[in-house]
Amino acid sequence: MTKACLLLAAVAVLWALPAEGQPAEGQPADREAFGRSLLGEGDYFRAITVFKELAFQAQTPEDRFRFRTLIGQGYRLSRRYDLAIQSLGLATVDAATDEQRDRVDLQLALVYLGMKLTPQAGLALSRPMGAAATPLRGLLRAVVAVDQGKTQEAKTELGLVRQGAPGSRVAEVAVDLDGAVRSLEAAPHRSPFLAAALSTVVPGAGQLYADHPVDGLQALLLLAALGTTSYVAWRWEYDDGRPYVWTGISWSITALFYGSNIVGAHRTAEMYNLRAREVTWGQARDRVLDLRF
Amino acid sequence: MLLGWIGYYQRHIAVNSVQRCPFALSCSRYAQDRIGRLGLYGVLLFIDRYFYRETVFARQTYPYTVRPDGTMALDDGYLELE
Repeated sequence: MTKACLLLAAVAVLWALPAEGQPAEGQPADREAFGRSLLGEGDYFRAITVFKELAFQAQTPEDRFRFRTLIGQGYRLSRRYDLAIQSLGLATVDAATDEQRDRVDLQLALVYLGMKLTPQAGLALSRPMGAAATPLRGLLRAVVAVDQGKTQEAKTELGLVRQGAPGSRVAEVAVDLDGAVRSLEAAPHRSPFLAAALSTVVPGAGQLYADHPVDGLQALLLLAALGTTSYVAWRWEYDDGRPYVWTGISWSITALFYGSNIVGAHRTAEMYNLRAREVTWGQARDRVLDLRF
Repeated sequence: MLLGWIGYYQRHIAVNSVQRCPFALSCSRYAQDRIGRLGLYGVLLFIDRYFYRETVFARQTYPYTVRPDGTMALDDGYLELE
């Protein structure tokens, strides 16, 4: 009898213990802390599940807003941008104060920056906030400015962020970004117009200048072959006194490939600049995209 | 007419074939988009991509990106250079 009682007590204790990996049953505050901890660990989808439960059970619009924003943040950090926009759109319904609207704007701006939709990110940050504007808004404006090629404007924004919140984490990120902007200004650059001009003179030279030697060699060889073919066609029709049908066709094709070589050199230089920019600026930008708040 | 040929290729040939284009946006889609929007200039861009840039060395020149279906492909900055 005693053994049976002890066994029953043991089973009751085991039943009451939470399963491994499951949060203890508790108040919404505990669940929220658990969700935030999952978010911090990078376990985004479980965190989102926790926040969805909390949003469903939320008693006040303020709580619902907070949980929906956290869901949006979870989706943003997991790069599910479409779902992040959807969740943040729902959060907007419950946003009643300037502070809450600012929060949604910042999350949306980060989503758009993640999607490389810079104009949309700029729009999300364009709401006049007055005194309610947070330093993070200035930081994101700086990122938008850099993405739009306005490095001077970005440096001014970053200076304001550093002065507005000295010693804060945002100010630390601003210092990092400032360094990245300066590196970006000193990054190697290839002029697309010079590349096009070089390829006009010597096919493939522009691609070589833009650090794509194989593309340049391919353009040179292909145009040499097409030019030779066109010359042979002209010689044959000229010698035999034929109408210049094949000459016209072959020179037209050669002209198209020649034009394409010039356009391609311009584009290759643009691509070179884009990659150089990603190497110097991309990592700093990614650090901003991973911000949690 | 060119766009008609590309559409025919996409509907009847590409669907019965393996994925050969190394770029994230396949060459036929690239051509369809560029020629449809830019006309002759689009033809020049397509020739540049198909005949000059798509080489066996492209993998050493272009970074990889993840396609929506999860597969890896080369990123030639198509979206950024719009």
